[in-house]
Amino acid sequence: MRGPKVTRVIKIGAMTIGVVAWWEKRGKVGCVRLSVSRNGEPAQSIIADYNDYPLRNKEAHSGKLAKIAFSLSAEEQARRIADTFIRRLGLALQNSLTELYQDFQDASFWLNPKDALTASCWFNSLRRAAEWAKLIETARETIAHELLKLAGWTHLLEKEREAGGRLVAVAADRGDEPDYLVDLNFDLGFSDYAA
Amino acid sequence: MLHKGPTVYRRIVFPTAALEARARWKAVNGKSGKTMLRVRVYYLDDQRVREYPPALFRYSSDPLNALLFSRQAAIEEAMREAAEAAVTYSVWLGLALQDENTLLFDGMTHFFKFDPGASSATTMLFGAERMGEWALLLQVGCAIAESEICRHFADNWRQHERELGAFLQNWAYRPEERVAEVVVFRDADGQFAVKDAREVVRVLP
Repeated sequence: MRGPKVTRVIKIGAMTIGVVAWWEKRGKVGCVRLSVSRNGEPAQSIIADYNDYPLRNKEAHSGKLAKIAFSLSAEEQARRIADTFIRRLGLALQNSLTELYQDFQDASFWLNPKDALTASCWFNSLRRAAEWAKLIETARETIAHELLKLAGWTHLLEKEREAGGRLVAVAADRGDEPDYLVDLNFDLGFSDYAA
Repeated sequence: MLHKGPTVYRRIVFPTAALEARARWKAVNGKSGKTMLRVRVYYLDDQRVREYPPALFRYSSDPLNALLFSRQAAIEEAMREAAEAAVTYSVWLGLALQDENTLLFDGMTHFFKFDPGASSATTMLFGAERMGEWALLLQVGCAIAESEICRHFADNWRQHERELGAFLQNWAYRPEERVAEVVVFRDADGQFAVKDAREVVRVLP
């Protein structure tokens, strides 16, 4: 059982970063999967969150309404995760470490060991966080690399911060859209590359 | 030139399985070096071995610096690095078995710099990735300890697991020993017992 896919695309220089998220039932539990690709290359997906809300919402309704309720809530969960990724990527680019750390702590799988029932459950959360970190760092590195080519060393930090701020703002403002494109070339004034 | 240091082993031998943590320092590009930790589980009944993906402990060029003095000094330094990785695994496993999650979290986040005090987002995210690698190896350790204790000492298994955790924490610091073992066994009264392997050998006929 799988919900609709939501897509966020970031354009920077000649590079396109695609973020795709969807809800699916895996075994007995529901989860949101997240995949990040560069220039459309196939990419592996990670389990970004565990969540049974779409299933419970489906069971709370009957007939055609159940299908609609499921689809809406599955998309909502996927949007939430995709925007979390965009926001964290923005925070990483801005080097806002306190906010980034807090964002990880506030995730629905808890990093705080006080909330974990056993050490084993908590290790699972750490592994999920590590997978997130890998995706964020790869995307951050891609953006930084492209910015370096566009702006050079002198303006790299300034442009990184600007790009980060833009991503955080977009994640907050456009969270209710199923798909959107962030053209950082246009936002940061690299007109040659702007779509 | 020193390419690799000695491997340091720490084993926990259960009645039907053994958990082995191996750590080794290795030179990288001749300028720096890194210490990796590997975990293996030996299933003694059906003679199977399972090895898990390695985890990075840390980068260190100390053994290469020591090479300026003598080769022996460099080997000793490499051994110290590896022993530290193995000790860290044993101590953290001990904490995890006792469900001392807050202490463990503080230790891991501080060591891997996964906190807002890190110098940059890259350092912090890199730390998170390393934590994930270690989390898998610690989870494996917990799982094997739990299943073995449940299987062979079903009464009070939770308490025995904590006992093993506490024992490991006190036992772990052995910087001079290349191979060290802990044995979990049923004593003469049929009760749960944990001992350093050398002590067990002494009591055997």
